[in-house]
Amino acid sequence: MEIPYTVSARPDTGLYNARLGIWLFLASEVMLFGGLLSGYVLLRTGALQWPHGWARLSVPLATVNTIVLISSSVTMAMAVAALRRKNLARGRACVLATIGLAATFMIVKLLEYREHFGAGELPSRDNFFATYYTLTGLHAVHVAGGILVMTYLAGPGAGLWSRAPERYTHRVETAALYWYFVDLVWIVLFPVLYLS
Amino acid sequence: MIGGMRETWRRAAAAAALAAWPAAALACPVCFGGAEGPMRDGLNAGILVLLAVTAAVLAGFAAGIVTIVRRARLQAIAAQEHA
Repeated sequence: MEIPYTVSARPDTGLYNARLGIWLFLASEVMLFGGLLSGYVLLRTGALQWPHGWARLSVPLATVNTIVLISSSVTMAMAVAALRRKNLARGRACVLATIGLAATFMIVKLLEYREHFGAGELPSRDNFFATYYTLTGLHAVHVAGGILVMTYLAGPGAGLWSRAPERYTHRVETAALYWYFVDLVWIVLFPVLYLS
Repeated sequence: MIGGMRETWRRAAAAAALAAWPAAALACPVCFGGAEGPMRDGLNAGILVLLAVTAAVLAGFAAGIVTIVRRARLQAIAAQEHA
């Protein structure tokens, strides 16, 4: 039995299976980050004193990371556009560029963590650093997950193109939606943690 | 025997008093009766943020369902006209 709507969109929903699945997954992700953000608001508003993020964290490094992550969303959108135009070579190159930018983000993040660890600013120090490491750490785990998926898509997963190009394009589109979400989360975290 | 009855009545009276004036028995497990202060503000703000996130996700689901129903209706009309 063939599973319907793996390639073509269902007429009434206008969605294929993977796209519906990723939207549901992203809804659960919104709840996960929303819950943590709510905890952050509780701790921050309830604290008698809360330090400014810009006084304890590196705003220049975070700004670089913001630019890097936004650029990676652009390259991911370019990958989807290239695959829709049936250009696999360009599509793969754009996915590889996205992986490179995501890896840059992770390296900068590790440098930032190393600086804090060196200064004895561990999560156990106070609520500020506990929430900082929890929120940015969970986000970094999502970036790492994205790198894994995109590495598969640019590497062994690209073999699907020769058999079912439309399906491969859908897979990259689905990964792109996830990647835009990861980008969006950082765009929320950056001002909340670093600029306020 | 009489002492036991008295004890029972005493307990029943205490329970009735608590039922009539429940605020005395229900201290908030978070602030322990300290109704004012930043902790209460923080808790309220946290609850509001979580409610806003939940409302946004549920609104997204509702909007998606309405869109699907509309599309399905249009599909059915188009199929009838085609037939």
